[in-house]
Amino acid sequence: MLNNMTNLKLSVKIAVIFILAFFLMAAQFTGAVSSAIAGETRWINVSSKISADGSMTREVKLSPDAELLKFAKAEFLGDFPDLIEEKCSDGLVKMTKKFVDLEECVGVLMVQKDLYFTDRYQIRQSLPLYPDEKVMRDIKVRFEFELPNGVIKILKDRKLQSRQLGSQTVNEFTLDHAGNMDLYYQFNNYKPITAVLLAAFLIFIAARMTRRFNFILIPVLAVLIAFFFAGIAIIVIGESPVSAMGAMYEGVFASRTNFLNMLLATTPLIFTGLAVSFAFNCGLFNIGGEGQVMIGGFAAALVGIVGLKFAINPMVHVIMAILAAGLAAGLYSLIAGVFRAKFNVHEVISTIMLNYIAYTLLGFLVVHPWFKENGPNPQTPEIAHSAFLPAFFARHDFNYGFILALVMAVFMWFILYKTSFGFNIRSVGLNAKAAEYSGINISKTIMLTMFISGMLAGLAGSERVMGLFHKYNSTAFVGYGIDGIAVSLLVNNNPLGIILSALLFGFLKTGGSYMNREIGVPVELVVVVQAVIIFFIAADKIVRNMLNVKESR
Amino acid sequence: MEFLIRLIISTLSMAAPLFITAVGGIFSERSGVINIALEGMMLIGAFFGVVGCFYTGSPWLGLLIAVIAGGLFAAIHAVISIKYHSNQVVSGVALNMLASGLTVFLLDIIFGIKGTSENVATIPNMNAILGVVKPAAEAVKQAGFDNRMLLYKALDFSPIILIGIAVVFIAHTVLFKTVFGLRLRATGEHAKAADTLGISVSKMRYAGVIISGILAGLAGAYLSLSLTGAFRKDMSAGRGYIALAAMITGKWSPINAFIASLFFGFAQALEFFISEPVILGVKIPQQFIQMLPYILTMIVLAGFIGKSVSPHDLGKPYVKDEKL
Repeated sequence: MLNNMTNLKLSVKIAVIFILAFFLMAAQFTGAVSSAIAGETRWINVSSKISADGSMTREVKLSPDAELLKFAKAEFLGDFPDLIEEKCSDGLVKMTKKFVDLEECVGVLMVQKDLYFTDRYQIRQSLPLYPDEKVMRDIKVRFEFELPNGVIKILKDRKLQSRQLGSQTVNEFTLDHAGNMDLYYQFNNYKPITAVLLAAFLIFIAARMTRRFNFILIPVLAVLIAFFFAGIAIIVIGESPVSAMGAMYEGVFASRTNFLNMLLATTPLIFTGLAVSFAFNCGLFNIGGEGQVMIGGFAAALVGIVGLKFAINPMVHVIMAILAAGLAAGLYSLIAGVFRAKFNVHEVISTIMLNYIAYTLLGFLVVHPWFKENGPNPQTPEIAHSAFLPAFFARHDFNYGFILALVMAVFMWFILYKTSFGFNIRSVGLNAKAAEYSGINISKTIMLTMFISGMLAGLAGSERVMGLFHKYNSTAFVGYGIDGIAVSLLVNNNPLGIILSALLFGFLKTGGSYMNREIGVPVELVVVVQAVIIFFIAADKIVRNMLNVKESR
Repeated sequence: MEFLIRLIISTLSMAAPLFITAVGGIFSERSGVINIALEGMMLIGAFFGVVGCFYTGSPWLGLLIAVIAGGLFAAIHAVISIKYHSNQVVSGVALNMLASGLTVFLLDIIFGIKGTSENVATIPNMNAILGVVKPAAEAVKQAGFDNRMLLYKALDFSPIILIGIAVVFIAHTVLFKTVFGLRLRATGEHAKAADTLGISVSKMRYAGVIISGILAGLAGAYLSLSLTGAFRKDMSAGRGYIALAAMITGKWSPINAFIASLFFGFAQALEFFISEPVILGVKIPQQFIQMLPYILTMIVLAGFIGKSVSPHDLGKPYVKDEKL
């Protein structure tokens, strides 16, 4: 009992430190982001009040400089003749214009109805390049938007990339002399990060108290540590971790499209994660996912292309293509299995070599006149429509491959934990010698496992080809196999856990690229986070020491 | 003659990053730590070489910084696999991932450009160091004899190649002729026995892994500071894995790995001279030549041409007070 209490205290301490650290970073940086102003800055204050009926009143306040006035009139007020100009007491000039409805704002603001949420509008504030360098130097623009609460989202342009903001009111731009802008804005949206931290904290406490879910502690803490490092990296480059987290959250949950993007990114990760996990349960480390995904994708594309010449029933065609992908990748992976079983060649080395053999082989095949489409790109022609994996919704590629992935996850769990074949696999993984003495045919088990593992990776390739790209392209398949390793290791290679872990990495990927567009944090941060997670899973002793948890085995 | 010189120099330039890294890998694996993070260490070396050169202005200081960065990066691998007894392959995968992510992340922050760095000063080639000037074309024509031109071309390679070749022979001597080498090999072959004899297993392994990082860093700096003069995203492009292949094909011996690297380098250099070689009247596509190192490694591993056997305790974390 006493021991339990100290454990609990310790875990509370750790969790509190994490939460405090995050909020410290947040508090420090939400206030101070825009404090770095160099030289003599001239301000343009643009405040717009948008009412629920769609009318907008825009006020522009600036110092009375002829060039500046011309610029501000053109960019923020659309050069309308009927704007009111007046001098304020502090020497600034105030220009006011009332727009009757959002239609009239075109040219000043782009307004668009959200495709999925009918009660929302998207507004895009764009700022094209201004030719005069002198005018652009040392200008800062502060945007203020007053919105009817929660109805309107704002999109901004920066270097032709659109940016979507939360429901904020103050946004600042710095214009450099080339007319590029740096965007500073504050994400005061604590909700997502608080929710995530709270959930992690609750899982943590629950696991510590019941002591039945100790296995959850290490993954959760590894993820938290990785996020912590990422937070520090974001601070180092002068952004706020809270706005970064908020941007990731927005990038996944702000609209249905974003959410579907996440699920679409998750699908191949489930397959490649399963591939790694299935082999790992047999004590085999299949890092050949990269090559196997490519081989599977190419096989699926080939079967898909055949449909261009012969009409095939879509149902039959889809199944044929998936089977071909699984079989090709499985056989390819079987090479490593045979080398391991017959020649005792470590599968890590052979799968690395097979990866590179696959790159070069497919690099050759995809430019071969038999398979290459006409044109400059090294890719196959588009596959027949009958081989497309059907999508769930119009206008989005999210497809039934996801369901197949879920089914495979459950099926692999069933095989591993509920059948004698699975029992054999796991016993070879735990202790090959003991398994051999108990009469299990080790080389047969190893070869079959490698075949199934490769097959699962191949399915990822088939889903990409049939559901998303609709052709084989030699550069589009890089990275899924390696990501699968992270996905699988995070949940200790449990097939059911892989669904959750793949969702987490799908979230990181989708949210990460959105965060990159949003606040300019390089998207590679996600790769770093992924690497740190694997580190702390690998060096679980560090985490165990932190938690004071004994090894369960 | 001139063609031969060009062929030899191209082969050496392609092989240098391979054999330098492979020798590093040998130190790590001979001490019993699997090192598939060679690729990542090379990338780190390449990146920090450019960054060092960018800030100090001197490619030689850049080289030094690259070597230190490679060593430190390897130290992470060492701590995780030696102190925390973790799975060395997993740690290697994580390091490769970290290197590829971190370099691009830092690239974006330091240079503000996506994918490639600014051009920096490169390490001068041997002809520039020795002061051999390229003779004017007319002078060569007048003399009718191009000895000086030949000399100029024969010295047109990076000094790092010479350092690398020296490293190969020094490594061979260290591994097989010194006490340190014997102890290093002993910890890789049978850690328990080595420990019983009073050799500190973890010290030897730390040394092995860090040496591998230093050499991989050197090879990376060669790529960025000698060959290209800039850092590009994922510029090691699988060379770390070919070095791994050279190490295995060379049966964990520096000189054999050197020969294997020369062969792989020759296969790569061939691309510059012949676009599609013809053997016995059959055109061999370029991709099949690129494939050669990997296929050869598989064949050697399978034991079809002289079986390659890894150090006995390779990949086994050594727990000192393990009860039997």
